[in-house]
Amino acid sequence: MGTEADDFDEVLSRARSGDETAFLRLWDSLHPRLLRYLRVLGCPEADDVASETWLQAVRDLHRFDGGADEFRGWLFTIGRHRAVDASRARIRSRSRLLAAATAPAAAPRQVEDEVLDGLSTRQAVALVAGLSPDQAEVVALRVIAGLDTAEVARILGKSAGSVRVALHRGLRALSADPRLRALEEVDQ
Amino acid sequence: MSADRPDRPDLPDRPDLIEPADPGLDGLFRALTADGTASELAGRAAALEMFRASRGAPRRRARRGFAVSLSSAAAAVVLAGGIGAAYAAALPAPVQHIASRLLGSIGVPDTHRPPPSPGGPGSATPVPATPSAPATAVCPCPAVRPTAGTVPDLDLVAAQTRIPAGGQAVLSGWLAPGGRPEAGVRVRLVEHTAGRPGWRVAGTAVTDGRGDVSWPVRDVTSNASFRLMVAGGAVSSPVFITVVPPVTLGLTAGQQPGVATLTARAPSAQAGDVVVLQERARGVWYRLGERVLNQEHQASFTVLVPASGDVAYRVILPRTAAHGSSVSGPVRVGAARVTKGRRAPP
Repeated sequence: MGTEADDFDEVLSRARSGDETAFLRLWDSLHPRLLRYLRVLGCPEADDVASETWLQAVRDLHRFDGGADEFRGWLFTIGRHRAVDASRARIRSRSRLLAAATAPAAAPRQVEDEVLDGLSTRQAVALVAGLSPDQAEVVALRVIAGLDTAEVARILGKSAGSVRVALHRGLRALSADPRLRALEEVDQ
Repeated sequence: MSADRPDRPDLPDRPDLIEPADPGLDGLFRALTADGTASELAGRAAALEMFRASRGAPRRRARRGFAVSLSSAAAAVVLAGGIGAAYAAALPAPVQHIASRLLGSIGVPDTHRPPPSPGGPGSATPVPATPSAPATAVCPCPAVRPTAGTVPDLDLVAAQTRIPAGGQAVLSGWLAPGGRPEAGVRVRLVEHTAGRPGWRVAGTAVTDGRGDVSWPVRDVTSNASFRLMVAGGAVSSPVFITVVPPVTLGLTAGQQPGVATLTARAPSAQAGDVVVLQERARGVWYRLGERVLNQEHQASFTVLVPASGDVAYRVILPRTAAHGSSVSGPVRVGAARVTKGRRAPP
């Protein structure tokens, strides 16, 4: 019986060789969390940034070397870089965005979509996004991405100690947030 | 990760997190790490097209082709050069179905036909399927696996997607390659139970003359996904079944005058699941507190008995990865309703 790590190695190897099922397995397990991480970062075009992230990941898959944890760290690092790129592009095109503000608003989402979205997950993401930016990103990388402290520190360019402090403060703030209690009752 | 809470997030160095027993944070973690929602997974077909394009085309060309947004499956189908295939209905059935929905206005046909009604006449006699039966085979990942050339059009539906815990789910499938029902084909029903890795075969059946198969899957005690598979690798879209464990609230007199004990019972839930007690006031349900179900799947709350009138209580069993949410009927607590040593009618 293989371990989870063995299983991941096999899936990754198959994805590298073009196995679509293996790729979808990676995508299914990580794409939702990648989207949530990008939304915590306040990325308004999270879907597009996530698509760009996967595009780069697929393109560079042959260069990646590591296990499941490293792959998560690698993917979320790409996602962070693409989010920064998107943010810079937004600033550059601010005038165009201002002009676009007069355009008709996007169609409201359908009720069915709201229900299927899983309200509690969206609210949970919103709660984390409400933290200070450094705390929010640390919580997102630790909890949503499932990365360990050392990997989060590497991605953010901080010390492990400062990551732990930010995590501690972020979770304490979340724990004290009265809105947190409401999350459990969303699905009544 | 504790053994009795398999749905907690996988955090390799969890000890440096604060307040691990905080139920509010547990709930938050569950929500943040829950399985992907329908909208989060909506770009699956597009991602697959992107993967195909990236693998099949020269890298430089693929990069240029995907420099624009890939937020919609339509864009991916177009940019991957798949629009011709879409027009020709040559995409794998699930992808074709999505392409048709997105590009229907420009003429992409939909080959994904609706299945017949569940349990209709002519259904094949299946091998009985139960979620608890030993797996006869392990399927590491029965995700949509399109193949080149003709792909069987496989569909699977459930009569009800939300059923009582321990109840029966009726699943019906339809096999119609190219829209033509195919008889005499052995198909497998595979199941992924929440909290357990991988997929396993839950039953097999042979399609009847209309390409139909159906299964009564008995004793479903945990949330599960089902797919149909046929030899050659074609796989249907998943059907998600949510089980709803019943939860009841009973009233007994307390050990002291003026107090009463409310006992929540959820035999089909898991020990360690949380139940939330609510009180109704001015027409609104307010949260009073929560308890964890013990090994007998019970949890007790002590409440004050009002001197006059009565108060309505109910208990909620929030959803987990293993089951959907459930709510008890209301129980009224008042001086006239509580008699020491005797359980009052709910």
